[in-house]
Amino acid sequence: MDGMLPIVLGVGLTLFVVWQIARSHFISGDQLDHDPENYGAEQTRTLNDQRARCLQVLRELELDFATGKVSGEDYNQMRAGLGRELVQLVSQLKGLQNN
Amino acid sequence: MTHGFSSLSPFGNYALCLAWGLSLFGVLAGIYAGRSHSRAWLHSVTNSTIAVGICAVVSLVVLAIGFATDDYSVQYIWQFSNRDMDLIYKITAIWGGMDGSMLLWAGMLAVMGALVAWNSRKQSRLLMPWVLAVINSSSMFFLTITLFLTNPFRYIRADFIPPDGNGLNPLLQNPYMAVHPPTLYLGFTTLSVPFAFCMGALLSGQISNEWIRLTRRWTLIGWGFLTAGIVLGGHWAYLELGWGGFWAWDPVENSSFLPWLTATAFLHSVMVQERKNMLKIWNIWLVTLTYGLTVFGTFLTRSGVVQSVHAFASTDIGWVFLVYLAFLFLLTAGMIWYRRAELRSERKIESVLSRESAFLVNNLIFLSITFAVFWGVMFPVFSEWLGDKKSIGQPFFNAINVPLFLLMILMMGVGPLIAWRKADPKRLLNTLIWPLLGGLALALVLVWGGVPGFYPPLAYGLCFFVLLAIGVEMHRGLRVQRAASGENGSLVGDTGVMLRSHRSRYGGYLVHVGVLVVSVAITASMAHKTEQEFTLLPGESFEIGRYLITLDGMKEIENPNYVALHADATVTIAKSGKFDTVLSPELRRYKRSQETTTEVALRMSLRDDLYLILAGVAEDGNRAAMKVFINPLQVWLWFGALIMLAGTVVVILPGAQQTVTVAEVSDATERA
Repeated sequence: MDGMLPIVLGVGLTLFVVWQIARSHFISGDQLDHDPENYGAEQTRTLNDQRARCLQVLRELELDFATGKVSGEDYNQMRAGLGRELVQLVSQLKGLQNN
Repeated sequence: MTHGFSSLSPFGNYALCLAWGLSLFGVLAGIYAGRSHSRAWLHSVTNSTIAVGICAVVSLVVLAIGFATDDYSVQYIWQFSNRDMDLIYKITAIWGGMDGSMLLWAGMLAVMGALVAWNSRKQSRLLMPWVLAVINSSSMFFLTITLFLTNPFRYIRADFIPPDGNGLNPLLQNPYMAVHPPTLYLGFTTLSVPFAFCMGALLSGQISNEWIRLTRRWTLIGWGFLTAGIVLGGHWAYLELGWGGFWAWDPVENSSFLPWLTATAFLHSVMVQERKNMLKIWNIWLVTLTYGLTVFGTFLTRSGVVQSVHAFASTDIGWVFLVYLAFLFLLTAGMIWYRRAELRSERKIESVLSRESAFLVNNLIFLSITFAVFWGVMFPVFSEWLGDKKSIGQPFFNAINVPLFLLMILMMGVGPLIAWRKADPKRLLNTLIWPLLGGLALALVLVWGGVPGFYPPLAYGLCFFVLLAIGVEMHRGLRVQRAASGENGSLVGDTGVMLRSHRSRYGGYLVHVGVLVVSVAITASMAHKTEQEFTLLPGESFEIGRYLITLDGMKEIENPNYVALHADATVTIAKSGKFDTVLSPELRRYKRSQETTTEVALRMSLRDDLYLILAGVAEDGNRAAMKVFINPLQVWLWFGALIMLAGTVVVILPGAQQTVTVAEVSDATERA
């Protein structure tokens, strides 16, 4: 084994990690939002995931209500809560699309 | 000294140092980013956490290269490898001893941290700096131990490089050992992620159910790996240890089982928090307990406080784990106290007869089993403190845990059918009556049919009850779906729609079915096992159960690694005289270590396993001393575990949850 190889590899790895840590301090805030991935697109995806999950919980609630495992009072209360959450998510999504 | 920069090991050690330094940076920078809300520092800590993972993987790869190239200048490689070993076992030897297994653990933890960091870019900027600080602190703890106390890159303490190594323990030279420990470690390390999110939420003050939502998949993946790891370990023990069983309540087996129990409890109780915003503090404790128990397992295997067939030699690093555990629990208690106002439940359990209560009972059963197993494991230590060291074995664990497990099975049937908040007793009884009668009828038929004992018929009856309850639940769901589809739907189509629309729910039931299959297999193999010891001359036969075993002959086999005494035995069906198979058990003596192992010969079938061991040569020198077990329904244990894993995959996989239509959103928002 070449005696220099561990040293060369060590130096290479050090430079790589130092660059990884330091580079965020040399770029502007806007670039941070869009680098390495488009922040807006990521936000949209996250909100869509949350919306999908919210709807899934709603579907489960519907099934529980239909099979008698949730009382009418609870069903209305929980459905209203989920609905409010969905309204919030949809308005956040619309806000992102407008921007 | 002939060693120095002649191998890559200094680079591996350097990568480990770098990982340690980066994890320290990650903790400090994470805290700073959390307090200052600085985007640049969050970006920086995200990248450094990914770099910790990269450096730890580099370190592991360098150690693997050292094993593959027989670099005996490194003490650990010399200790656990030799030139005659196959490449697969040279790689397996990485986790054959303590130093390498600690590096593997630290490496996997760092990779989990890197994955969390990679995904953090799309998650809350208020929460993530704290999450990354916590996950870096976990990595730092394990990297500290690896780097300063159990460094696998230490050079051998000799003035020359030995020409060959000591070799790996023969028991570990088994394909299962290539996958069992890494799978288990994947489970342990993945379960550190929910803890990091939970602590991150407490530290940042982002105490909504967001951390639960973000970690649900991590918890399921960790639980799946832990389940797979435990079952693989059981299968290894079954095939390799030659005692006819798969689980001995050994301290090391228990150390993987303890976090599995609390993780299972958490997976259930988290549903109450998601639905009803209750049990918040309870869930925080369950997550902490689960992570703490993974650390406790490491303490158990490394400290030498308890005796185990698996445990590594006694070392002086146990106290480090104890200090860390104490810190974990104090931190959790402190944070819960600090956030007590925000953690107060919005609702209370209103009725004993409710889904919330059922989940709580389920949790209490899991925690009772956890406590019983913990007590059994630690009893030798506690009794030694009182002056008289005693250990307790299988009878204790079975006596306590069998009734608790049966109670848990009962709850598996009742829980899914009971209503939230307050169930109507009459309605619940109407729903449960047929499953209950079915289970009772089966138990009575089995007693009448001569199935011995109290627990076995009860266990089969309860499993049947749960199976019927799942059937009732699915039938009710299908009825709702059929009503919604109207005249247009077909039975098959509606079933498909129902399963796809409620994938998590029915995936969970599939896991329950897997548990039932495992339970039946464990009951059958424990309660109806047959075992016999006998000696045979070539040509002689021995009858056991429905099998007739005839010894064809014995011979000695020479291998570069070992010398084996090999027997061939023909198995015929006793009643019909029909040839079935030839079994060839071996007794091996490994040349280097002089250790003896039994190689079990196994005939597996859906009905039972015929498990044959060659114990040695009887006193007269010609007779083969053998031991045979018939384990009924044993193979179903492994099938059941596969069903559990399949169910977990169904719950985890993204799919139906993502396909939401605009109409559904509008509909739901309109209703709001």
